[in-house]
Amino acid sequence: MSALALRRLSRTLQYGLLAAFFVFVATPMAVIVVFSFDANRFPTIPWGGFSLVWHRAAFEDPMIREAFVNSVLVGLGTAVASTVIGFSAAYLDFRHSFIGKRLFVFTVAIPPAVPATILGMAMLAFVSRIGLFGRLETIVACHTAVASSFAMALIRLRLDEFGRELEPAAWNLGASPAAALRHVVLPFCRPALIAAFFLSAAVSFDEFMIAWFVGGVHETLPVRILNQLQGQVNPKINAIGTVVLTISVVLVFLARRFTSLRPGRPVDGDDGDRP
Amino acid sequence: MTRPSIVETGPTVRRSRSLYSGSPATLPVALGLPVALWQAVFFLAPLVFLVVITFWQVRSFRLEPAFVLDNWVKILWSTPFHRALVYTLEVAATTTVLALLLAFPLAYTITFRLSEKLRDLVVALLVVPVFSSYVLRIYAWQVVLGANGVANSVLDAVGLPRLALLGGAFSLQVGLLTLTLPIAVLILVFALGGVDRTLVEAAENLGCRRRQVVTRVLIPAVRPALVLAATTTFLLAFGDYVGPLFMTGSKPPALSILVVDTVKSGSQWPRASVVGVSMLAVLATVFALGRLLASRRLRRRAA
Amino acid sequence: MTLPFVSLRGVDKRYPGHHAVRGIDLEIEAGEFVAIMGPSGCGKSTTLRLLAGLEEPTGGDILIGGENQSGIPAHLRDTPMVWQSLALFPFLNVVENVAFPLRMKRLGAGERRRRSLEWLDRMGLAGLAEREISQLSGGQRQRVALARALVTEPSILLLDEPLSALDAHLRVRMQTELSRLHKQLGITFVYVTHAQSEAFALADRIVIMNEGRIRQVGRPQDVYRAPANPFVAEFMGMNNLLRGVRRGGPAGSATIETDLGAFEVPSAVALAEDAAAVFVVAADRVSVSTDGAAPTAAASLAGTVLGLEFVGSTQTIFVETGGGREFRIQKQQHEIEALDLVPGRPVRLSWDPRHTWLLPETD
Repeated sequence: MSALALRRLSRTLQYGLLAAFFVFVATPMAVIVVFSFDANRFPTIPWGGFSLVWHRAAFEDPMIREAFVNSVLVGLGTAVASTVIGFSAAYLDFRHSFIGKRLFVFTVAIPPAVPATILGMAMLAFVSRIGLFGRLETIVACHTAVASSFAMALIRLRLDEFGRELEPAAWNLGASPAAALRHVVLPFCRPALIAAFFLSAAVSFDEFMIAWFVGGVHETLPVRILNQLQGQVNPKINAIGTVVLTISVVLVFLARRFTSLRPGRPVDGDDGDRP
Repeated sequence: MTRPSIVETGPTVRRSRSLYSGSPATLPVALGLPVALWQAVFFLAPLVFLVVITFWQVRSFRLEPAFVLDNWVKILWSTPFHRALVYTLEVAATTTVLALLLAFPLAYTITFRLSEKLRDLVVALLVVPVFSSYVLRIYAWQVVLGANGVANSVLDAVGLPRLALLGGAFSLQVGLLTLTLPIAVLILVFALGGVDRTLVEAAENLGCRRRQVVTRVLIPAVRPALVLAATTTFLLAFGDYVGPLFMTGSKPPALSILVVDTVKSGSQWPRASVVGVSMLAVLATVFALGRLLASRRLRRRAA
Repeated sequence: MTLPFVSLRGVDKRYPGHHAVRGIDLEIEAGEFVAIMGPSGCGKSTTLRLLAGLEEPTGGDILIGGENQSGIPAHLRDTPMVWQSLALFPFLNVVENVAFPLRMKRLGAGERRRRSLEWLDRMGLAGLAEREISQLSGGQRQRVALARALVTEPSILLLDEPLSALDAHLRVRMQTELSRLHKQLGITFVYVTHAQSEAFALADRIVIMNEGRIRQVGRPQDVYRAPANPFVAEFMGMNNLLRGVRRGGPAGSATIETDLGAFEVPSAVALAEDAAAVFVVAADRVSVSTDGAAPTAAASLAGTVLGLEFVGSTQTIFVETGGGREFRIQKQQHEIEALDLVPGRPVRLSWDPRHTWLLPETD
């Protein structure tokens, strides 16, 4: 085959693979959304006609409603706590050096690398021991321990663009270290803080393993789904699924909106960076 | 005459030698202490406790402190554990290989064949599934691949025979790849995007053809990212619970399933912890291997 | 006698592995424009940071306005600085940047704005108050940085190579502005630079540092004409140094025997016999001739032309003399046109001994 034809073939294969990949990624989500509006009880082809019955049923189910509220509360709590912890860790990593710094940063960064099953089990064992089992606050605390890793990463990346001299300049102009933090560092990190907030919320909203172990009677939405799935297949799942997916998508898009991270391009620099 | 500076006589709790000295260490401590405490209580302590429990006993459904090696012996020597370990390792290794084989060409296409705008869009679209409900997506695959599922309905409609897609290695890999492939692709897209284009141009200038550019320049350049993608994929596949649960009905059981089942039945915490800690040990080894691979300088082959 | 406004006494700064400032003493009068110069790593920026309180000295005292600054953290000192990178806050607009120090002093919003706008006006930036920093040109940003540092009406302004990031013509313009500003405000300026031309153009006095020590302090013209030691002499550029030992000589001068010959150098101070000595021949005091002749009363050397460098109307001629030593001669273009100097050409260098001088220190 000529070189040109070979190249055309390889191009076609590449694009084909990419398209197949997107079908692969999109299929699960499409299936859920589509069949949540299917009047049929069992998701098969042909479709049973458009209907909102399952959405209504899901909405009317008190356990689902409660789970949803729990998810929102836990998500909000996690978002706030993770952003605070993530920021503190990122800032300390950026500005200071001290003994044990590597270990310090490591303990914040590593939790997502521990399989959720093991972490959940460990957390359950421990919080039971200290009497914190079965509370929403506990789920928030455990989720935060994991989500702050993402928050820290986002904020640390933003701080990479922070000119090394901006803080000393602020001190030089009369700002105490705390004032400089409040008036210079935080405003600069604002986009990353917002992104971290939404991303932590998304992480928490999606997390089911730890919530399942630690939450006890308090189910978050993914836990409710998991429990429901272990019973019989219930078309309400699709409806919940659509809502959950929509919320996750919105949260992730919001988070992305506030990060300037792009592949293959150096991250935007700001004036004030040392040349 | 030397006088100790303010920094050297700072508080001993956390002595911080900041980039510009002259400020007391109260702020860093105020920021750092909550973080350290939080992670200590909700992350480190549970894991340490997990290891501790492996030496405890369960007497009449109650967990009691002790120091026995029974649990370790029982589990490490048990056939179900061996089987589950081998099985999970196999599965995770398969997923890793598949993910790498697929992710690299995909990332290559995305980075080099798409316009910048399109690339950004693709990345945005890929980030979404990473952070949105894995449980639901697994359930959706169940719907698609089931005996009466979407796939088979389509095959029916076209007149082809039905396939038993669910319940075997195929569906399991589908599930695990749903979890891991987007992440692997994203890692490689970022890495390939960061490769200095002048390296590629220089290679072409020196006579490398497309395939050689890929193998001789690109792959070595993104070796750390490849290792990261591989370790992340392995990590996720190895520890997954929902995938094996829904895609193969826990037959055979993966390690995570073993853990949960052991806990559910008779609250055998110590035994479950042994499995858990063993899993962590395996993962730590894989992680260490990965770091070795990423940093070791490639031995030069004879030209 | 007025007390100096800034006083550094035995100020020392030691880092693990690096002794940045070695016990320096310096006094700066109120209203003076002092430039601190030196090669990279000489400690000039560290000294400035010590003044600002961004570092604490490991020894010695710093007094500003008679008050010992030790223990006073950076944000409580009134030593605003203009940074090399300007360090303007990108998330604040122009007037907000300028108002920042006033905000830290808890001034009311109205008062802050009024004073900031006043300063923007003075710096010729009226109308740019609401602009974003990214929308300004390099020169405009410079002036915002200056306004921000001066808005609190401090008695001292620190400047850390503020012009080095600007291109040449802008730099010259800003130099004039800084000079004008200094005269207008009458406050003390402490200016760190590595560019001689800047220091010479702006400063009342210059301080030359090397390896953490002050090597010479004085008015620019004095330091240029009478360097105190070999380092300063070479740092100032167009000087030729010859080292040797004293071997007698008539009253009022010393004969210094070097490896290139013996030369007579005026010496007001009695130098011991056999003592080591270094004397300077300024590059623009050396004559070149191609016919081997030299005025009888002159000291002279034979050499070969190595190369020429042309800067404006000045030619710098590099000549290799005995022992591989390089001599630098500076002449106006028209003076040497007729000589047709090309690399390899043998020449005779000569100078009037009265135009040389002994360096007080040999190190």
